[in-house]
Amino acid sequence: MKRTKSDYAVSFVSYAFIILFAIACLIPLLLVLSSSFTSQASLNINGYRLIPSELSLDAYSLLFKSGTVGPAYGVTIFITVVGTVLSMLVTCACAYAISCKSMYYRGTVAFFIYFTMLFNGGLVPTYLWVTKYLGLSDSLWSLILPSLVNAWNLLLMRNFFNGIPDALSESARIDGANDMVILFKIILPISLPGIATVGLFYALAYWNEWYKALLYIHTEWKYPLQYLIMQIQKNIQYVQQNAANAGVVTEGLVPAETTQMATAVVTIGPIILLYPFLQKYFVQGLTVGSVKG
Amino acid sequence: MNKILKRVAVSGLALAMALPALAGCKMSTRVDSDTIKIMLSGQEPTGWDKVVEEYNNNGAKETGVKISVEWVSPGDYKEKLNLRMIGSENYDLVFDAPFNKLKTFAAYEMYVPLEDYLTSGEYPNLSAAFSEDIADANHYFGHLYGLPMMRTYGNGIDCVYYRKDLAKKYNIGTDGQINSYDELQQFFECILNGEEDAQNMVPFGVTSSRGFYSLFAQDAVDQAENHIIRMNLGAFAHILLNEDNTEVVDIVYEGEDPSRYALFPEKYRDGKLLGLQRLETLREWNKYLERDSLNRKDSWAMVTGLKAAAMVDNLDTYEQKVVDLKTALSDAELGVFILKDEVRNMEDGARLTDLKGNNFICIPAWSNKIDKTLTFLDWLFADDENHDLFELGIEGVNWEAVGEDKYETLKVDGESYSFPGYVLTWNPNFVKFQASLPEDMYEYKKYDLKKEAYTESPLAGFMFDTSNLQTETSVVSGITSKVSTALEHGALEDPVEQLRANTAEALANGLDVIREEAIRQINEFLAEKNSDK
Repeated sequence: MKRTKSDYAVSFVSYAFIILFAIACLIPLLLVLSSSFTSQASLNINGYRLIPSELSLDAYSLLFKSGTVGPAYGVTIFITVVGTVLSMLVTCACAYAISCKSMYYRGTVAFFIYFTMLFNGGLVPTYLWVTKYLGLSDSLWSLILPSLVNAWNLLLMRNFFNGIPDALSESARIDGANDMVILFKIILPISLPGIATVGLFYALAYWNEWYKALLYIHTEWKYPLQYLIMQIQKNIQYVQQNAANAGVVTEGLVPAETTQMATAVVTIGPIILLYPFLQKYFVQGLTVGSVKG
Repeated sequence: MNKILKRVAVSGLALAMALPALAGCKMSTRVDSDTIKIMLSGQEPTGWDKVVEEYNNNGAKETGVKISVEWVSPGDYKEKLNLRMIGSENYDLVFDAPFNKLKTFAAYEMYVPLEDYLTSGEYPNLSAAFSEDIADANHYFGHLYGLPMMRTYGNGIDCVYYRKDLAKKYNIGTDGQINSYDELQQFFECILNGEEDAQNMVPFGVTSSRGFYSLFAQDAVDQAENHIIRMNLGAFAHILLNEDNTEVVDIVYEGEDPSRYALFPEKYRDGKLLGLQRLETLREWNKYLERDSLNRKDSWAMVTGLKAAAMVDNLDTYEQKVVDLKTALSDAELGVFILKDEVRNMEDGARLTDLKGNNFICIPAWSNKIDKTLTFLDWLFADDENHDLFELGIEGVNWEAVGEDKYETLKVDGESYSFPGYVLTWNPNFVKFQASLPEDMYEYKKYDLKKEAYTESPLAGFMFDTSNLQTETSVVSGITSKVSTALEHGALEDPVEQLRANTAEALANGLDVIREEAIRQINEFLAEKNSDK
């Protein structure tokens, strides 16, 4: 089919719009990047600029000075990897069970899981449960176990499994496979889009975890990255406000805003790389169950 | 076979999950019986380990008590303190404050009342450091639930910091030294009409929450001499006491009809000296602010960013501001205009004090080491040497003495020891000053420490308990907040009318109830205070 002038016009306008939109999305990121490489004094005077008027690594040196960013990366990677694997294991197992038509009370179990999405014990009981009864205070497991299963992700996974024809597991059962074998050998291999999607949700949640660290972790080397960064930020504000109280004068302006930008750059790094690898599963994963046949 | 396998797998999994839990249990019980556990708000000072080591090796020989301190970042402190107190975790000494959880925990008696320990004579140094009047003034719900950490009896000397180099350029005051509001206004006019305006500099930088803050503040001492006390009772109100300060005559909220001031002394009856004049002036001075002042977070950054020629704060931050401004612009010079004449002239009794601390250290009620904790504190406030070990660090390493009451900070690997004294060590009996302070600032800071510099409020020690008025106070604060911030910026036309309308609305929605309760509580407080005499 030959393209008419108006087709070209539509394409042109669409492309122009998309390009402008992409630039609009990119500029703030670039501003963050460029302002992380300038000095606080120049930021105060010149404001945010795409090309910094004065190059400075103050913010990064402040960030890495304490030597705690390295261990924090380790902690975050640990909880992200271990947490995601364990979460997927438990979530898939449970989702598979409640997707099996042969299981009694699967509706009731599903309801109990759903119920936690509407109501929960609240902060104080949860805190007491984790610290007093589970004894997880100041343990890395306190960052993983309380969020091992996310009800929403579990139901998403169940819906995904529901979309898989029963005939598959039935024929496997006739061949003598038990539930474990069916789950690991039959169901999971054909559920990769779902696993990728839910896995990414879990991984992101673990990567961004800071609140549980605030509640349960007391030792600095056990801080995950996000919480450590927050601490550094808060400490900078605190230094600004309380230098006088402490009777100590800090030299030069505290690089408060530039450090904020530098922390953003440092923290988004690795996780942003996950997206391109998982992207191909995404569309499939999110439209799961929308078409049946 | 499969079933057995499954069971093994399941119990294995359960065990794997329980193991770290058990490990966690073990870790939380490692504190020995001679060590008290302390939780403080702040960033751990560089070199803190050495200070604790020094104490645990030497000081602990005298006291028999070792310490283990956990630092919690100030931004997280309130939440962590809340959860750990509710979980009755084994801390023996914690930092708390009315802006944290002190009022709540005091109401539930979750801290040990300390007044009897102070008068028992067992801890003589504590009794000396926390005198009876201070202890009395810091009661919450009838008891002293924490030791108040205060270095002075007030909240710092209010002042305007300004660009003295610019004031010199325009020949303001005596060689750029501003000494009156008139001179300050001349300075602002020059900036507004001078070349600075073209460079986008405004005369005065203010923050959203504070606005003009202590500028044109009402004269609390003069009011107290006339038996009038200004206090926030749901909204700002003036409490009129009788001649011998034993009973409430009336309480009038700012913005009420002037006829309500009938019982007040003559000069106050038009309400001008009770805040209305100030609102008019702020409105007039609004032209010296940036247009978007209600969204500004940091006014000092405006000065260092060359976007403002002045800002308001107090003298406590002087040293830092000198350094900041020099960094931003090497030609700039910092000027200080102390707002109140009597304070600028260092007169006695120039400021009103209620002797209340803003920060406290408290002992959780379930601590089984109360005596040990108090023994440690008694040691801490025994003499300069002990006190300074914590506040300034190790002498000769972190600091060295200069003369009698000054010190110079020494750096270790480029870092200085910076201890937030208000969480553990502040006390008017133990103060040292930076040696780098210029002479006049040193004199002002010494003046700030003197008890004679203050007039004691007749209502010192009174705490308004609003726990029975939750509904009213929240409704009223919802109403007053509609105009209060904007008024502090002088941002509203006809400010007095605006305040009148707002106060009328608040009165109709619970402020009247709050007033009745306030009168009852203050009378009760005064009756008790006078029966003690």
